[in-house]
Amino acid sequence: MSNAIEAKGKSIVCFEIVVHKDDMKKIEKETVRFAKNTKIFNTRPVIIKPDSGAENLVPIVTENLKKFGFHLIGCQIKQQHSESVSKTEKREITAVHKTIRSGQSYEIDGDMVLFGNLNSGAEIKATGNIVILGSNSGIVHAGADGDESAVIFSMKLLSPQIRIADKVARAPRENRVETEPEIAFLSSSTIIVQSYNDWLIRNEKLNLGI
Amino acid sequence: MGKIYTITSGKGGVGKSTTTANLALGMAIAGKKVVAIDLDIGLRNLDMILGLENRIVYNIIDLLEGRAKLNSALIRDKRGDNLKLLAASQTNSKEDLSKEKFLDLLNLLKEQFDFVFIDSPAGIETGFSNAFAGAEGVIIVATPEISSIRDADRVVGILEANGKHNISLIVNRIKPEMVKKGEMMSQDDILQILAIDLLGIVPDDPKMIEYTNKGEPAVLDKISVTANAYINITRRLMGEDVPQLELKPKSFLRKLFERL
Repeated sequence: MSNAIEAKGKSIVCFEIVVHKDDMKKIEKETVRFAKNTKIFNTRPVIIKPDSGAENLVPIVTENLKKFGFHLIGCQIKQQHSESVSKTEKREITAVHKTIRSGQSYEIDGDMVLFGNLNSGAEIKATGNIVILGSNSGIVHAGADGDESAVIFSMKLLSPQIRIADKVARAPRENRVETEPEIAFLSSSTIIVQSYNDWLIRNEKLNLGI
Repeated sequence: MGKIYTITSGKGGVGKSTTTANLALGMAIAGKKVVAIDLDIGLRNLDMILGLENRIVYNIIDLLEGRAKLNSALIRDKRGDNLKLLAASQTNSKEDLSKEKFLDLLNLLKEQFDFVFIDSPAGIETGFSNAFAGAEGVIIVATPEISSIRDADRVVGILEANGKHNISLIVNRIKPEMVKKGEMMSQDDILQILAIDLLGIVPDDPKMIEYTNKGEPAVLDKISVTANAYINITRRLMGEDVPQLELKPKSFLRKLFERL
């Protein structure tokens, strides 16, 4: 029996518009000229790729292209690795090698890595990220000073409640059976818990601007 | 020199006193000189479980406050000479016990007996900290319920913070049928959470109520699995290497047999 629907791979032609560092007036003028000249191609998808330092010019280009009906599907921005590395190096990481038991609590300035289990009734509060390389049945609070970019990683997430910045999420009522590593993060003021693998894939895509 | 063990749990009603009674009596049957101390002052019941209620004249508070001599406060077990009970006072409160005097008493008892078992009160207050202060080993009793496990975990944390690292676990009231169906935590699940040594497992036994009401601990009913479980634990405490009991769900025939 043949399928009613089939998926076939197909490569599509798209424009990659490279934006060089220049003054705004010139960029606007050239964008309009380009859009007019290639108007017959405006059904084609467009990806904008600014040079480093030209990121602030992207809105002018996109605005003008949209006026002529171009389909923008993304913007590819180069990662500035050197800068981001120096930022992370400044943070303090506290590593704890033990089982944190019921009634024990940790308050940490910076990131925390726990090589062990966080048992039911135990608490961790950190101003940065929390990584638990064991099962997590306690209460964890990442970004306790209000850092909304903080994440919570657990090898086995069984917590009744997790907190990021000033947001609280309760565990679903049914007993969890999943054992895959999971990560919790804030996305538009909601705590999202996702399989770590899915999260990695999602982040890769974001980095590539897809 | 004898060894001092404290039996504790955090949560109440998981079988601390029953365990103390059975371990103490099991040791006595094996020929060791044992003293069992009920430290649950104000709520004594180790005497009832051992069936020695009617023999109490003086209790531990009387002894520590000098109203009684050691020999008259130590109650002789009705089944033999090896076991002695030091009863709790029913009319005092936990705070009436002087920790220093109690530690002195333990040092004295250590010279006269092979094993000292201290039945700790539930909770994590003064009574509990008095109970473990002089102990060389702490035995935690936990049932396969999350509340009991969490309390046991709390107790382990407090003990470790107080420098007690010889901590072992007795998993009480395991129901093999429920474990097999996945409705009850197994001893492995519990050990994974608590991360301490397993001293033994004791199956759930409906006859336990009868034993307690009669004042005849389970170890005396030698053919029962429960008695076996306790005897194995006493042998491990004496340094023997005894394999853990393998509890299997009861077969239909066996259940029928028990009913007849």
